[in-house]
Amino acid sequence: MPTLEDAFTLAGTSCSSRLLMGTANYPSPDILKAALQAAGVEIITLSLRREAPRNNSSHGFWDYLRHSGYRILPNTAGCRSAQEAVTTAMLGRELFGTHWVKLEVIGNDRTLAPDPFGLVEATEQLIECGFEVFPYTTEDLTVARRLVDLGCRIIMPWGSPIGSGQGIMNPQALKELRRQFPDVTLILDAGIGKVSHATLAMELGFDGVLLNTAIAHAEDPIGMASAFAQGVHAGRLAYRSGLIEERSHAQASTPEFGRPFSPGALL
Amino acid sequence: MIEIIINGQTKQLEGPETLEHLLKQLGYQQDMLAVALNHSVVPKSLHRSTLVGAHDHIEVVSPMAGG
Repeated sequence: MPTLEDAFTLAGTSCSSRLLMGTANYPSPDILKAALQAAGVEIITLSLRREAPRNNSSHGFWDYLRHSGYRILPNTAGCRSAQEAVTTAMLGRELFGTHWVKLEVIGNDRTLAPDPFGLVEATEQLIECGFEVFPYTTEDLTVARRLVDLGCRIIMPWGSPIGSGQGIMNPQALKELRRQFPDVTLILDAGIGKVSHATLAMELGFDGVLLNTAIAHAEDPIGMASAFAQGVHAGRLAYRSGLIEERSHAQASTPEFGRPFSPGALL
Repeated sequence: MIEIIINGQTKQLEGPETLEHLLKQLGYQQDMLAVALNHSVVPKSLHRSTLVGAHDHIEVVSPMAGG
């Protein structure tokens, strides 16, 4: 977990965990609560959906979360246009009392890939309205530059399609994002399936990871939440400890000098 | 009679009425709601003074789990 020497600041806020979690599709609210605790997260994502009239069912889920102390990051999940996303973000600010928004503008129904044009358009409008925008994007450097130029302090590139569990499709591209945006907070969002995917993201130099399905759909979400927390921590520690470079050839780790049966004498 | 769309459904009203009255009439009781009228969020404090008229689009939302 972040130490004083490796403090994690997100949008100007000190955070205790580099793992952010979604709250959807858990087997039960109790399992969700336990998983959040096991992961030690501080920031969770929520969405907004149409409320049915005469809905007398309890909102225990929301009552628990709003008094739990978790920092809420509302999303604009499923929005297909900049207008939908901007309005949804405004509704989120009204409902949750936060100017944070995880901005999603979806461009493809099969892959749920971001619509870069709608994303940039919505980002511009929301930043003008005082939002802290966490844009869900791809690894595209040009889009990232536009978002940063508009005022984004945080970029959230996908690893692979939402919920696919494929991990990181293009690690070199994410590495390049890190290289070209050294001062921007990078949070890997979408497509994570295994703990090793999250660890890899941190080893690439990302500042944090956001995931949902890999924990919610695990056989043991509580155990998996704990595993991911440890994986993110391990990846961050590895990154700070200085990973070795890959080589195209072998290099023996045991010194050749003094090897028995080697040519040359050792007297 | 006028026609509005609320949460994607068409509804007929006798005439323009306040947002507060409309929500009450439809049975919205939860305090954790946010409302947008024609893509503009209407704060709760303005529900009583905001009129809903012909062809208006309303979205009524509440918190939900999300990723």
